[in-house]
Amino acid sequence: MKPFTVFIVEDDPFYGEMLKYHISLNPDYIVEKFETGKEFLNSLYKNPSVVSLDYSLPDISGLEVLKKIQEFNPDIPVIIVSGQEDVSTAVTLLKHGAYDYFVKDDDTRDRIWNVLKNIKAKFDLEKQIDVLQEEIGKKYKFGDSIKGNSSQIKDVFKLIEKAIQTNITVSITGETGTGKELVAKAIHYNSKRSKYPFVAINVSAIPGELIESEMFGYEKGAFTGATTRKLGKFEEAGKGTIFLDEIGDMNQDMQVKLLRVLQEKELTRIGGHHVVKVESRLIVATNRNLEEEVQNGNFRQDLYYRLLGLPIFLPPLRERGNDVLVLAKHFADNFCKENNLPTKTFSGAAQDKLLTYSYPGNVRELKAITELAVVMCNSDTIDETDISFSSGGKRGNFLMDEEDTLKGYTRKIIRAYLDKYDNNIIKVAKKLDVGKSTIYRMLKNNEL
Amino acid sequence: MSEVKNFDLGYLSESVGDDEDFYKMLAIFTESTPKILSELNESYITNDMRGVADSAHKLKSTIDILRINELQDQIRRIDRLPHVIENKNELPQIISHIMDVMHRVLWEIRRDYLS
Repeated sequence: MKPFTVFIVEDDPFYGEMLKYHISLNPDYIVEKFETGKEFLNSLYKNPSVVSLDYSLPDISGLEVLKKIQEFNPDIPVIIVSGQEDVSTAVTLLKHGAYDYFVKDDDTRDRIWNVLKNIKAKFDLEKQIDVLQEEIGKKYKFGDSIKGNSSQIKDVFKLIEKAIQTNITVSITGETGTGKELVAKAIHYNSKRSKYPFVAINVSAIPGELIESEMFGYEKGAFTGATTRKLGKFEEAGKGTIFLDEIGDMNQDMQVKLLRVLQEKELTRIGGHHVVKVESRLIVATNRNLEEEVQNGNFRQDLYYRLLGLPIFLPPLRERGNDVLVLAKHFADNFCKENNLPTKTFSGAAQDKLLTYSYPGNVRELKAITELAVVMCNSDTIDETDISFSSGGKRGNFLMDEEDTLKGYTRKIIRAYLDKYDNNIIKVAKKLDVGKSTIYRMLKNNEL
Repeated sequence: MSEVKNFDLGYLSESVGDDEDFYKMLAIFTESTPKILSELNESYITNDMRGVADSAHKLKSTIDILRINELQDQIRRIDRLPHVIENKNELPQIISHIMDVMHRVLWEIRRDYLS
């Protein structure tokens, strides 16, 4: 963990030693002293937590040193300790970003002590935030948070990797419960923006008349009840990520306003004149087919193209083959850990039962089913009798969800079996009683 | 007749205590100040008013800490050079007085505390 280091830049050796003595009285501070600006700048790479800077140095002016510190790291607080009893000097330095300005006198040691105490408290809080953000980052490390070995989910992983590398807008589609927000968080917490906020808005959960103020904020007095200024979610996100869930439910008026903000990269709070720069990354999600919504006139085409960016489609769980078992184990392990229960395994019959269901509620439903099974289970092995499905979605029906040709059905069946048996062609051929060359041929021709 | 001192170490003692650190500070003072005084003298001789001001600026906080009261106003007058020259004719006397007093303080501190 980074220690709290205080650099003193003071050309008067006697006064510098006095300052060093006082500051070093706190054992939490590591103090280094420099007598020239050049000597200090040569050590600036050590990135001190705070700098106490004498304004009048023999080789470089205090203002120049301050500017160099700001260039190197604008987050380093610089306290000017000066013999200059000149208000205009103090104002100039504070304008250039000095944290505080003291004239050398008998109270300096107490004042510097208090200022360092405040800076240290902020430093500690920032460290705590860093630790927490790292923890969240670990939680959403996508290999850990999004589980699965199917080819479909591996394709999703590849797209997430691409999304992490750039700032491209991401549009996530998929049925309810497929983990759209989880993917959005995985992208954010694994990207360079991870130290900034992730702000999520569920567009469908906010009444149409409130969505604008929620997204863009408002000024005091903008409307009845606006008793104070409120920042919108875009401002809250800052340089982080804003996630607009259920974007397909956004009304037309709001679509126009959002489009303008995305085009201009700036917004104005309701009732305000001040323009706020938008620096956040945008990720949107919907379970609707936005292309169809555009064709039906419910969604603006220009906004659609602006939001499309990198499209990520999350497959429904019923099409992810053995991922059902991988996820069920993951959920069961987590639930046991959270509830201090011994780890449980799934019997063969239980695994078969899990694979026979179509999961209309997708991963979210599987999680609920698994957790209930763990609770109902009386031994270390979850049996089929511990598993109960709330809806009647038996697997198999999915084939009839959409009409298809016989060839199309054949492809779907073979694909589903390949997923179920980890792409073991020989096993699938045996199970379906078809020649393995048929499957090889279909794979070679990209029919599967 | 008891000697009247030009300095008062009460503030220093209150700040760092009376033990090791107190003597360490006095040692730093006696080591660093002669160099500043010689720079002050050199700058004055070569009519480098910026140099005179820089040296005075360095001495200012030391004079305050050691409570060398009779120099507190004078050091501030030359600290503002070359922008403010209140009475240039007084400058030789002021420099000479600062040199005298500071050398006396150095000598007394060495004699009474560091020998």
